[in-house]
Amino acid sequence: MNLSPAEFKKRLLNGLLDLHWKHWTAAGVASHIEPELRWVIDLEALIASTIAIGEHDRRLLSVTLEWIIKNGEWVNLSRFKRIARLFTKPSLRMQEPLLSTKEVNDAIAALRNSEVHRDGIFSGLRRKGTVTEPGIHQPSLLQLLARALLGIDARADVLIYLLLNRSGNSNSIAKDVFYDQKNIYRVLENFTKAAVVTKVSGNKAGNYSLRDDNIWLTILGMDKKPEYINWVKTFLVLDRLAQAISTPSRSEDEYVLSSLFRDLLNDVQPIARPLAITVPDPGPFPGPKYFVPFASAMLKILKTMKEHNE
Amino acid sequence: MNKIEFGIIHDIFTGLDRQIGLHGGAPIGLVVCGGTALFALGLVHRTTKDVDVLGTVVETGKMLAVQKIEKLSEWLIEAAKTVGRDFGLPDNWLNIGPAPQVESGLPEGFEKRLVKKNYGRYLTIYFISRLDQIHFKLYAAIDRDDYHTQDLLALNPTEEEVETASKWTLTQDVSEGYRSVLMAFLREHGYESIASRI
Repeated sequence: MNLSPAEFKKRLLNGLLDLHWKHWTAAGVASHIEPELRWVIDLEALIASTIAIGEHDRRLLSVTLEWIIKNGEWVNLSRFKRIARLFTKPSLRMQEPLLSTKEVNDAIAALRNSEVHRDGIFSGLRRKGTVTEPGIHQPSLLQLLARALLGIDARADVLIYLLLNRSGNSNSIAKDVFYDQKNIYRVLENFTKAAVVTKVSGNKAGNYSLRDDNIWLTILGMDKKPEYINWVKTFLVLDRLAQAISTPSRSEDEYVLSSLFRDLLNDVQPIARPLAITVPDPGPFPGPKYFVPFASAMLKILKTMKEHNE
Repeated sequence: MNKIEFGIIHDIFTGLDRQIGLHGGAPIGLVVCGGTALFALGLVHRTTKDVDVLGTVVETGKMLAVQKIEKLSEWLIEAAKTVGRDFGLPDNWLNIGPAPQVESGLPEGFEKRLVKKNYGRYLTIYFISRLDQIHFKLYAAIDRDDYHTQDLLALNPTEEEVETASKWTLTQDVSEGYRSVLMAFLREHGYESIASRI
C-alpha cells in the first residue's frame, strides 16, 4: 500500500474532524454528517478534543461554543477540568501540550456561561443558530440520559460504566471514567446499599457489577446496549497524532513519524482491540518502514469508528 | 536484535540526527571507527552490532581537532536509545569503547584523512580513513587473531601501508613482548621484509 505522510495527514485530519462532527451532530448540531448512533458519546472528552483540534476547523469550534451556550448545563464541569488537565500535559517529545491552560480556562469560562468566552479561543466566532437541544433518548447520548435520571455527577458515569463494561472496582472505574477514586467508591457503596449493584467478595479491591442489566435497559428505554469506547484515551491518541502530523518538522519525515507511532503503540492497542483491528508489531518494520503499517491501521481505526452506524 | 549493515546505516544516522533534535540536543561531530566505518565507506562488506565512537570533532575553519569523549551527553544517550528501539539495535549500540585511543595517540595526519558525512542539522559523522583502519586493525589483530585480521586482510594493504602501521603500533606498545608478537604476525601473513626492517 502506498501512503505518503501528506496523504496520511489529509486522511487522518479529515477522519478526525468527521468523527467530531458526527458526535456533535448526535448531540444536536445541524450538519451534513450522519449522527453518531453506535458509540456512547463522552461530552467532556468531546469538548476538550474539539478545542484541541479546533484550529483545523473553525466552524467546528463555532458550533461547539454555540452548543455550550445552549446546552452547557449537561456538562460536568469538574469532570471536564479533570479531563482537560490530561490535554494540557506535555507528552514525550511532543513540542506542545494539546491544550494550553488559557484554552482550558476559556472553555471553563464558556461552560460557566460567562461573557469571558467571547475572548480567547472562541473570539470572532459567530452563532449560526444551528444547535438544538440534544435528543437524549438516542443510544449514543446515554451519558446525557443517565445524567437526566441521576444528576450531573459521577453516578451517571458509573452507571454507564457498569452497564457497558460489566464490572470493576473503584480504582479501575475511577481511571476509566476520570473521577476521583474516593468519589467513585462512595457512589459504588451507595449503589450497593440501594441494591443497584452487587459487590463480589473475595477480591481485595472489591468488584462491583449491576444487579440486573435488563432492568436498567428498560428504565433507559433501550432494547440493547450501545457500544463503549473510552473517548478520552482515544481522542488523546488521535489528537496527538494530528498534532504531530501538523508540525512541519515532523509531518513529512517517515522515520520521525514511525518513531512517534512506536511511542503511541501501547495507547493505540487498547483502542484497536475492541474494533478487531490489529496494529502491526513494529519489530519487522525497522526505522521508517513502520510508517505505512501503523498509519494504515490508524486510518482503519478511524474508518471503523466512523462507519459502523446502526 | 538487528545487525547494522551498509543498507541501513544511512537511515540509522539520519534517525539519530532527528532524535538529537527531538531530544533537545546540539549539533555534534562524532568520529566513527570499527566495522561501521569499514562498510559505510565501502571498504569491507560486513555487518556489525555497534557503532564505535572514537571522539568528537571540533571544526574551526578548515582545521579539525579530534577531542576525547569522556561520556556521551544525556540527550545523545536518550536519542540513541530511541534510535536503538526504532531499528531493533542492541543496547549500547552507540558506544565510546575506543575513546581512550585519542589519548594514547592517533596516527599522524589522522584528522586530515577523516571522511565527513552530514546527516542533517545536528549530526556529522567523521569516518576514519582506510589507512587509519589499517593502523587500528593491525594493532587489534596482534592481540586477537579474529575478525580484526580478516578486516585487515580485506583492506588489502600495500607493504608500505603495513610498514607505516607497524611502526605506529610500536609507539602504542613499546614492550619487547609486543614487538616479538608483531614480528610473528607479519611473518605469518607474508610481510617478512617489513619484519626485518622495523
